[in-house]
Amino acid sequence: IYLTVNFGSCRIDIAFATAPGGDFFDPHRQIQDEAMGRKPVWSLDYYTRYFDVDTKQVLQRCFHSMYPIGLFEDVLNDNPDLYGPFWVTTTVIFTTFVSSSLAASIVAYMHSTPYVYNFGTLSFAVFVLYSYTFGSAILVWASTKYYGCQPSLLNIINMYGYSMTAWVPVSILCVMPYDIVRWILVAVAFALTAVFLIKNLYSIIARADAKTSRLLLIGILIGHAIFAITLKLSFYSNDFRDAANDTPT
Amino acid sequence: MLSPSKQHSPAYTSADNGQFDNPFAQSSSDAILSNDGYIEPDLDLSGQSTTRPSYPPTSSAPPTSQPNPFAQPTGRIGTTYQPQAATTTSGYTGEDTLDEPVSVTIMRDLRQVALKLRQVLYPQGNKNVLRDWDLWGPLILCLALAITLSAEAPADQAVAIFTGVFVIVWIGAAVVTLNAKVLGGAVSFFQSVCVIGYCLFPLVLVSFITIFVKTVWVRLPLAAITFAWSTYASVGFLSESEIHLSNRRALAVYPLCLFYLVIAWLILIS
Repeated sequence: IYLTVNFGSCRIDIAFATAPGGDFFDPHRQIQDEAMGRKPVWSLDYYTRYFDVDTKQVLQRCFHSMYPIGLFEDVLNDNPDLYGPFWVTTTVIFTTFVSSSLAASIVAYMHSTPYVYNFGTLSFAVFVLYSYTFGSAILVWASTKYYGCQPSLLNIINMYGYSMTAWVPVSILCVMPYDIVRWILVAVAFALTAVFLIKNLYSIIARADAKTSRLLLIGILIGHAIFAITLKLSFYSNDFRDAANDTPT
Repeated sequence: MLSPSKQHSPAYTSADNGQFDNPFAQSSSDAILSNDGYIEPDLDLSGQSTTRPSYPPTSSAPPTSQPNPFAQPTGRIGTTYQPQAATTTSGYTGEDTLDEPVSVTIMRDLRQVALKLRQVLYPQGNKNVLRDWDLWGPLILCLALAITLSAEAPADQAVAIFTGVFVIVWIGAAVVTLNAKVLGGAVSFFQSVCVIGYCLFPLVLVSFITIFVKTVWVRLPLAAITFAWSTYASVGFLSESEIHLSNRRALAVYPLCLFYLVIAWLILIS
């Protein structure tokens, strides 16, 4: 991070040393930009750099996250974007809400009770999904940075964001009223996304010493497992047997 | 108010003493609207409210109805000036609007809103109507939708649903517009929010119908058709301005689809 403070004639330059591989707060790029008089941080044009993708590239990245052969960084091609993480997460929120309310309404229809949907599900879904995708990406970035692994925040956000693609078909399929099928689907999604995340984060984690990297790995996996279980229990758990006792909370 | 007498022209000297006319001898409107002493502004003020009617001084015949400098345009700042005869749908009426009764003022805005709603219903014809953006229409539609959906909900959820629908509509429209802008499209922010808000109109109609019709077999095709209608209308309006988005049209259209899908789903399950 490079800060320039101007007090009239006096000028103070404060430079925070960041790792040369850093992306978001790349000191060299920021100096270049300011020297060439490019866009300031508060203008909308500054963020067009993070949305410089075409439709084909986004679809390619989504597909690769579900079929993780090869490294994700090669697919990113040094052009990480913010479009994918945000909109894939929003899609997952929407499909989760749809499938949850659809399952509950089917249950109510089969028992001929009037269905009342719970709007709190939507707000809870928004909270859980956005905080998991962006929050855990920031946590992973912060902890790897603390241990000196030189991570790139934008790359990590991209990995977490595109890994959400696997939850879209799973949440649609979880409308099925068989609990065992739902658990299997959630387990499959968990395994697929965990493989994708670990495979791509491994190169970053391995730069720390052996014990810390093992701890980080376990931490990531546990976080991911908690997320998967939360999704399953809150959204994919409408049991058709006890619909009569079901009251909206 | 610029006084267009020769007194202010740069060529005035004391030799012109007997020749300058008293600006207050004429009626003020004549002095403003007459061609002599027209002081050309340095900047292009066309489209903005100035104390001079902003027709170019080289035009041979001034327009028959003088555009009123006090009439408030909505969203015309930055657009090129068009002669009065061509646009029948702009906010200018050509007369002094300060003295009219309140009902006339309100009716004029309501008529504009109704005109735009009709444009949404039949998305062919003159697409320039929605360029005069205003946010009254989207606000009315959003409130109607939120009230309808929260009125049908159980009492403990009514407030949450009203808040949720309101937030979803406005923040959703803003996010979709920002997304289109940041991807490189050349859309004006408020114009896009206005278009997205107005295209909610078919969905609002369906939500009124769902108050009376509870069977899903009627609701589902209605919701699907109006969702497709809203999306088609808004994509049609916005695609004229998204000239820079060659490979990214799907990326900009998809959030729009998602937005209307969310609203349609909320209406369907209410």
